[in-house]
Amino acid sequence: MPFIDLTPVEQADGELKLLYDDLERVRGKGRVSNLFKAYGKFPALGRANFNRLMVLLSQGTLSLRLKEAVMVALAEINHCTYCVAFHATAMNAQGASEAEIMAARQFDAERIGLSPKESALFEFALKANGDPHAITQADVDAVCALGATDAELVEVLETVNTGNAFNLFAGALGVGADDFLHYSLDSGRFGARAAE
Amino acid sequence: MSAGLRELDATALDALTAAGRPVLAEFFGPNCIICRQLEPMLGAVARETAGRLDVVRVDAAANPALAERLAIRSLPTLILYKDGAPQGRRTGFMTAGELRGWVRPALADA
Repeated sequence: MPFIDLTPVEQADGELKLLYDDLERVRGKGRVSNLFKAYGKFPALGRANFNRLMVLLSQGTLSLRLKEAVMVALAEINHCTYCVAFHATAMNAQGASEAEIMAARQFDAERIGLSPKESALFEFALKANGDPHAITQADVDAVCALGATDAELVEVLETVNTGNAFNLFAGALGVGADDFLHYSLDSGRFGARAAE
Repeated sequence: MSAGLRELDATALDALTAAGRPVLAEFFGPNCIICRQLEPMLGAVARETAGRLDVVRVDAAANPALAERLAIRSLPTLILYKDGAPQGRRTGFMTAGELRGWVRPALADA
């Protein structure tokens, strides 16, 4: 059970309804996540954070598979089971197999089905998350040697920031799993509805 | 998927390493933030190498004589043992990918 009341979609009005409408326009009817229902308690921040997420996911040059894989890994690190299920589902929507999702959960860049550049950026993201002040010029040069641009470094680091911020929010408010998610953390498999 | 790494004291670590099988030991401290960040990375490697590599944790503060003997000067410090002796050491955060690359040679001819 969430630690705060989450306003159902049918009871939303005003600025909260605008936020929910945005979510359903992008994600589909009935897919207003519990995370954003919680953010909806402060609708302006909810919309700002949804806009932030949309910029991250709809702009830039890195693949959605990479960004969702980074978020899966962060959710695993942060013990955010809801977030693992959410981003595993999003990764699956990008064509990732259950084995590739499990590889992200095991922090194994080589088995996620990424290009060499994006594999290196996945590693870079985990290293930055682990200890950002230990990153050296050599670390940056190594990913740039594989073709990563400065903008892509910003893009992947902001993916880390966003994932961690949402994990913290979801954990601290106990928002709980969405009923439209069907990923089993224990088996690493999707249920029938999620696989449709 | 939690790490669930085994925590050993000095006596238990000496006994484990003396057995000869590869051991990866993390020397950590209870207030070490980077150690907490490292734990899921170690956990992933531990699961993959179960039966071939023992991945364990040692509280450096609780085992001061051992920490002194091994010259542990910063946390986390990782020591890779094989055939009863340290084969290498690293300090600070490492990704699971970096850990895999580091331990792979020790496992190849284990």
